[in-house]
Amino acid sequence: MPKAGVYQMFDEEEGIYNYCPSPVCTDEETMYIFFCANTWPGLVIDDIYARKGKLVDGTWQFGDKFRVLEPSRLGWDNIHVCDPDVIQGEFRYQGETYPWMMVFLGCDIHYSYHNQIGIAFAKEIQGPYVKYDGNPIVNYEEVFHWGAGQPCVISLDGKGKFRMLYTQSVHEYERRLIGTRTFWRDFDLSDADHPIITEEVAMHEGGITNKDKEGAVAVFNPSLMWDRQQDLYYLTREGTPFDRERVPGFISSYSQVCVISRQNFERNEGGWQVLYNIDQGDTGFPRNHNAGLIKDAFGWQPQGRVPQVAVTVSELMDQGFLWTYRIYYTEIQVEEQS
Amino acid sequence: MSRTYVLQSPGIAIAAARMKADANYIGIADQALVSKLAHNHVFLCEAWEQGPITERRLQRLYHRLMPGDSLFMETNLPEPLLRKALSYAKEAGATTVLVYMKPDLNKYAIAGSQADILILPESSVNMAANRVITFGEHEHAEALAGAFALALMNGLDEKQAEAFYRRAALSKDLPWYDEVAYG
Repeated sequence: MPKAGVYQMFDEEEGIYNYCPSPVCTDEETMYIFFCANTWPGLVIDDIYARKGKLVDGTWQFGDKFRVLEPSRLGWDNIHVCDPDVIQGEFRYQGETYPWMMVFLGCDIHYSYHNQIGIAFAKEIQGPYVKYDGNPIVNYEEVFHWGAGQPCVISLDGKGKFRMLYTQSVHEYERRLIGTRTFWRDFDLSDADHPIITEEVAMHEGGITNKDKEGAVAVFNPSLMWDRQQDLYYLTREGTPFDRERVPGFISSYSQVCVISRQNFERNEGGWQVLYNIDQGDTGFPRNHNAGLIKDAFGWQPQGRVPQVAVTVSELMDQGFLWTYRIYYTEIQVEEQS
Repeated sequence: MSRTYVLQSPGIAIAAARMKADANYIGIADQALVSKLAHNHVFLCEAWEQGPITERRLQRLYHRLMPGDSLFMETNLPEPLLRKALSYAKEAGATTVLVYMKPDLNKYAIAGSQADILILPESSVNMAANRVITFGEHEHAEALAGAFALALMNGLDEKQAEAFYRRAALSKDLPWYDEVAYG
């Protein structure tokens, strides 16, 4: 049973999964939640869907889902598109000015290889989204690595400048080490035909600890929100290490919420604090993964709200666990700060 | 999920790739065919520009096929070679799918009895020993096979996936995934 105040945001039919939520509040009572789902029951091809929600008596209630982005027939994103995030701004592209931009993961091979990051623009938040012809905007060369993906963005100026965090493979061949971690870089797509993109940097993980305070920390699958009042960055990540003993062993038991001052983030030498771990005690499910902070249209913290998170849950099952992926609403219990 | 291999049938390979299956071609291919396959996102797994398919070449299946993979082929090779391919695939633990583009069951009776799944014209005599998918006069066999390849990759059987591959089979040309899934 979920804890009081934690609830499933919407349900799905059998054979369809929902995960990777990106909840965007366009006003105090309206949310568009973007997420990844398959279209044909039982067939794992990721599309990006969305639902429009209204806050009714303190609870988000959602309308029907609609598809907002599909894999291309050919090219770098022809198998899956997923991991969406959406922000508002002013993006001039091919003679048009677009107020909405989506970032997403695309790939051209199955089995979680060769992921890369693309963007798409829209006149309305619900779409249609036009894929950028400079995609992938974050490319990754090695085909049989996980690649680059799971992007999230916050606007830096309410216009064309934004900061992107994303997961990327790291490979050290002498130690036969292959893993992933979070990287970040800034973009200026005010004139998207002539993009300005800074060099990427590996995000410092200092201060982040695992739930049991033991073991090596790996920070990947970030979502980011900027509290402009207090100038803080909130981050969610997959809780590590994974419980490999039970199936599915490749997704996290808990999702972690961390916080850092913007200055410390930009210094990139550490300073994170763990704020909360969303786990079975919150949702009632043994797997809690692919979390997304509930943000306003610019990726900033909605005024007057405590940090809120949409998190994906899963059952433990030897087979068919994928079809139990559903999205839950949680609020962060700040009194449990460590 | 598992991997899909297609032996000497460019049409099925392209159909499967357009359905977003992981389609890997094994067979003879000149430069024009290599280009066509690659353009349709078929992975060229083992491609020979010259000479015929031989037993020796089929033995590349030893290291390509893994348990749970599927091998699609059609009745366009001599039956002894098809039987070899079927036995090599069975030895590797792969699922074999044999597609009869024409009702020539008698010609390939032994091979047909060795395949796990047959895709054949509904006018053909049913071979009770096999799992069978039939296609009608106005259904596109390659499109059906390609859509079924994606289903097999995902662990769906011929009954669970029927609505999907029947929709694909209605196309005159080899359809793309979006035309079937969202249509």
